[in-house]
Amino acid sequence: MSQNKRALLIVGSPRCEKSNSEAIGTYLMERLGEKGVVWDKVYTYRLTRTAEGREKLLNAVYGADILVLASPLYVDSIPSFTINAMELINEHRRAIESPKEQKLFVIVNCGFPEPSHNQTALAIYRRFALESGIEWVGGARVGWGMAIDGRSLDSVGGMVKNLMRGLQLAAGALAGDIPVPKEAEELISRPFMPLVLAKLMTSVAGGVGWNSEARKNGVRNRMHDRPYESD
Amino acid sequence: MAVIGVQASPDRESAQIFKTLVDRNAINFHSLAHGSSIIIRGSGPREIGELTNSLLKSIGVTT
Repeated sequence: MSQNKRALLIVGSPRCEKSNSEAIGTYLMERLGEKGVVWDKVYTYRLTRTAEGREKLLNAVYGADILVLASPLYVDSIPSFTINAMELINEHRRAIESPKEQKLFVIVNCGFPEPSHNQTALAIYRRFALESGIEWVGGARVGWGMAIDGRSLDSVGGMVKNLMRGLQLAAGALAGDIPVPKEAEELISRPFMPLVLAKLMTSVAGGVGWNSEARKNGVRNRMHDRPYESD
Repeated sequence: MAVIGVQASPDRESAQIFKTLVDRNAINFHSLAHGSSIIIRGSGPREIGELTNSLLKSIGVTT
């Protein structure tokens, strides 16, 4: 069924090959590959910089039946060069009389322990799909990306077992041309560990980092200043 | 912080995304008060004026 299907992973992170977006997206694409889907990947950070790159991006996108977009969260939104890529894709599709039928699945990851921070970015991606005439087949939110740290998911260990299981389910659905089940989105979006623990670890690690930076900059005793507070 | 967005045509979901982004960014701006409104492209000067006044009023600015 999926013999001639083609998929494209669009990595929306400036860290490119070293990013969590790459690690998560590649795991999904490899599962698609096992199901006979031919896949490739592109990096918005590199391709949106030149006219040649932008043309390459559009050609790669147009050659795919399934688009998987994996990106980090930037202040509740999307990295600018990935927004640029989305604008290019949107314009390209609008310029064609009968644009090809394509599906879009999106995974947004962030450093916060709570995956829910990705919700607004996911909503923006969904709007992009609707306004570009691309079928939205689902999206998932990954929190606490520091636990992955750009490594392949296989090497991260048991902490990401739900994420991998969810990606496997999503791959099965995408390859089989059926809607990505809610179960897949839920598994991908499930925190890697109890939130209370992840928050504590983030707070401790963050505290060490911020205190060290403050010491380096000679402002250790001004950490609780509130310069913008009004009377 | 008063933020005005322009939409080509009314779209509730996009408007909600815009409002959420403004609300969240206002936190980083340490904004004392914030609000947002959407203007639909093609709106007349009177409508835009009323909407702008209402927005400013909502954040405590009086004209």
